[in-house]
Amino acid sequence: MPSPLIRIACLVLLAALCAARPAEAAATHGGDGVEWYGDMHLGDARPAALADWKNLQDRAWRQDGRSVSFAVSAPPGRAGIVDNCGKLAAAARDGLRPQAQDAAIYDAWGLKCAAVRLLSAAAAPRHDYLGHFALDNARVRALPSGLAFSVSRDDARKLAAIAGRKGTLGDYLAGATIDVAGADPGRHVVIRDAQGGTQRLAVLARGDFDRDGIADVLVATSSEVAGGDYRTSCLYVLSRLSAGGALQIRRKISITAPAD
Amino acid sequence: MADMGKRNGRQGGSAACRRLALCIPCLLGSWMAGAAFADGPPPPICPAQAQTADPDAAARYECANSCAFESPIDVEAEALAEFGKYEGRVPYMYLDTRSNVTVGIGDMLPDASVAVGLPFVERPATRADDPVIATGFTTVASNAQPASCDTDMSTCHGSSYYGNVTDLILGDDDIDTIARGQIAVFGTELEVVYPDFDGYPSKVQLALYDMIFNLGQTKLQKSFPSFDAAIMARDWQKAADESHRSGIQQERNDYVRNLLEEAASDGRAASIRLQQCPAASSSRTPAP
Repeated sequence: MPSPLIRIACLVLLAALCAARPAEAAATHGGDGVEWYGDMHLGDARPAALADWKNLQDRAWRQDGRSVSFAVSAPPGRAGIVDNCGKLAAAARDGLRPQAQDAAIYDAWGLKCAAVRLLSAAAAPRHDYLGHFALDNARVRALPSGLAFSVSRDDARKLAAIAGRKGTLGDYLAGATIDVAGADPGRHVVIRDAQGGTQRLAVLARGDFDRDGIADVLVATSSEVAGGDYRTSCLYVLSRLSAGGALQIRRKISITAPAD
Repeated sequence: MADMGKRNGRQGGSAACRRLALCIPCLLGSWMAGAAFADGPPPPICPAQAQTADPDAAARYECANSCAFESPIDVEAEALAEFGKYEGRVPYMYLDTRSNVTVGIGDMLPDASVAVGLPFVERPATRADDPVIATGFTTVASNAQPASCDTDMSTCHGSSYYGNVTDLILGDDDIDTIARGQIAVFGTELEVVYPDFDGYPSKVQLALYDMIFNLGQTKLQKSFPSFDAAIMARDWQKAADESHRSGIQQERNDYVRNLLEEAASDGRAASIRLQQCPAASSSRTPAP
């Protein structure tokens, strides 16, 4: 018969395991070799199956039960309303933008729409070399340097030098702090650099997004500066093409500056 | 002409060449096209109060003082219009995506006492008293952004969500007045980064206002060393090349680049103009 102390310890351990499992299950969805995490939704639309992502392009946005729409315009006198991903793509083609004070939120919907498009076309990977992919201090530093928050030509030159010697994001982040954030462990980090910049990284989904048969992760980044209105957001498809190989950026979609 | 070279030689290519005993080719080049002179830093801007409608008098002043007049630009008004374009213009208090109470052209209100200092009116047009404004501030602040807004901006409330949270609004003129105060603050910060800021051409000042409004003082100082060095050296063309900001709208990058390139072009034209000054205009003349 185990001692009362051991029995209490077992109960505490059991309780901790029970508490942990539902949180993990709630944060991960998917099937068919593709999974998506807590942040990957489109407003109130939270698909439970991969096929459901295909139906979201033209579905009206809702958030917390309220409809969401943005008045967009462009000189001279062109205007419209954007309330779904299809209209957002059309507005981008026509150069229509929302009111400046709401541009950050609009672009965040734009990022989600780009992720929805990738998820709609995602497939089950035949090979998976990513292993356990989570964001923490060490793993963030090992990410490709191309994910860096780079704003100036000087930054670009520094990054080119790092890339030239096959360095990683960690080589760029001297003096930066990396904090795990959000309620979903390993999915969010906040990087604060020594130059007044803040970059948030979020892992949205995992699957084969470029149809090369190899597992990728979908990572969203948003960057801003202290005391300025600078703000960007990007979506990255990251992959490892062989066991033990380096993580690579397979695709970058810039939401705020598509030409970049 | 010789005198002009002496006074501007500290900055121009001609003096450097003389020091290197390369006078003949350099002077020949200057004489042929003004290129060596024009490639150096541009002449300083003549004081605006010395500006005159008489072009001959203006030219005499430029020659006598080795400076160049610029086409007048209302820097504050232009900056105000640009800030409105990139930050929007909201007459009521709202929470931005970082949960700061904000009003007007992106003006953050750190606490209720700052809001009370603003001339809010209660719709339709009654001047609001201090307790009403303080309550309005608290009401907006308590209509918090969702917790998820911090990591997922698509879940944040837009400004229109706060449009009917209070009846308090600011008039257009008051929004402009507050924004001018913010521009003055940026001006002070720019003087810290660039001690000669006040003496820069208006187009350069306007470009720098956009840079600091976009990047903040810290990012501008720490992530743009080549740009900052070019500005300090009054090399507007190099500054134009280094002004590019990744990730922002092309239109905004073009706006700043064009301003700096125009300043570079103005400077080259002014240098060439000053080269053509008669040698006799060596003594400084007072403002006409």
